[in-house]
Amino acid sequence: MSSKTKQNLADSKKMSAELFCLTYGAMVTEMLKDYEDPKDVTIQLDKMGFNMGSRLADDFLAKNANVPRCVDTRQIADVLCRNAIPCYLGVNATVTNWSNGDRDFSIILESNPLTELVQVPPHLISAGLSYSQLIAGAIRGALEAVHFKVFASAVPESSNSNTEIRIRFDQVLKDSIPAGEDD
Amino acid sequence: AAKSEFHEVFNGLNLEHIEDGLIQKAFLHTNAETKLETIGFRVGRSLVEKVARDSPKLVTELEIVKFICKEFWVSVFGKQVDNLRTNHQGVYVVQDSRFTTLRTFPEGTQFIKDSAYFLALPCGLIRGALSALNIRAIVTPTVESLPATKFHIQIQQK
Repeated sequence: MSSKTKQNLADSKKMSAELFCLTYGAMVTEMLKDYEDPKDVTIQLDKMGFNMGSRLADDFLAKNANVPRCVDTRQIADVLCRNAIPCYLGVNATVTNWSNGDRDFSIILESNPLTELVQVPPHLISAGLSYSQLIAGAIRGALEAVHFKVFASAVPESSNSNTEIRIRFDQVLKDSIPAGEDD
Repeated sequence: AAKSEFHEVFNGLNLEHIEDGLIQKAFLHTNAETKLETIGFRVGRSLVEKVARDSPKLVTELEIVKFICKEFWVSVFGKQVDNLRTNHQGVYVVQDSRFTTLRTFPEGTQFIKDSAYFLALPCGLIRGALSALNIRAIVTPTVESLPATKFHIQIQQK
């Protein structure tokens, strides 16, 4: 039994959550040394997330053939929370705080694998470090790959352990077709 | 940027024959592999405490290395090592025929050079884990054909 589960861990392309969390933490620490300004680290984390997200979008669509085409933000939020986040982060998420005529919403992660063993110093948060911006960037990248332009940011950790990711829907991107080619 | 500046200064000094080695040494602490290794070391150090929490006391050097190859390897790299050899004089060779971080590489010899970056972090992890268990060691990887990897663990005598 135990050898079987070990085999599964090796084959299913999953990694130990502790290793992931600690490595991410060490990487952020190293980045804080490199960039000096925590705000720049947040920007870099966002970029990294974006690149991850735009690749993950393909993988997600390949794995989940039955996900319907989204026509409004409520559907986007639903797919994110019900399919995408449990699939890649292994945690449950809920949508709340709708505002601005359904254009803004928040995704609350029930637990955040990135911050499991981590305590972010308060002075870094106030200096502009957003530790979980990687996830927000990944959401932004994934949605951009399917032609939704959104702004996403991880709300700095508050007292409760849940992580909130605030998403604002901006526009639907149109395919830019080279001149002379009609669709 | 600093590196190329340094290069220029050196060129002016007309010391071509030694410059490359020297420059490499001078900037060793900022190169990417070293950084990845350092990150791995930190992570390995703290991770082994979690893994070793419920294990019985490890006394001899061989026990510790065995622990690394079994429990630690499983929890970090997802599988056990395939082979562990030692000359009983402080040198251990760990063989893993399907190493985690190289599994996505195409098989063969084409990308061996590029794999170095992907092995720096695991080397650091192993070195960090050993260091937390009170063994100072040098860990170096060798790849003959991807994704099979050999790690040489050389114990430093105290």
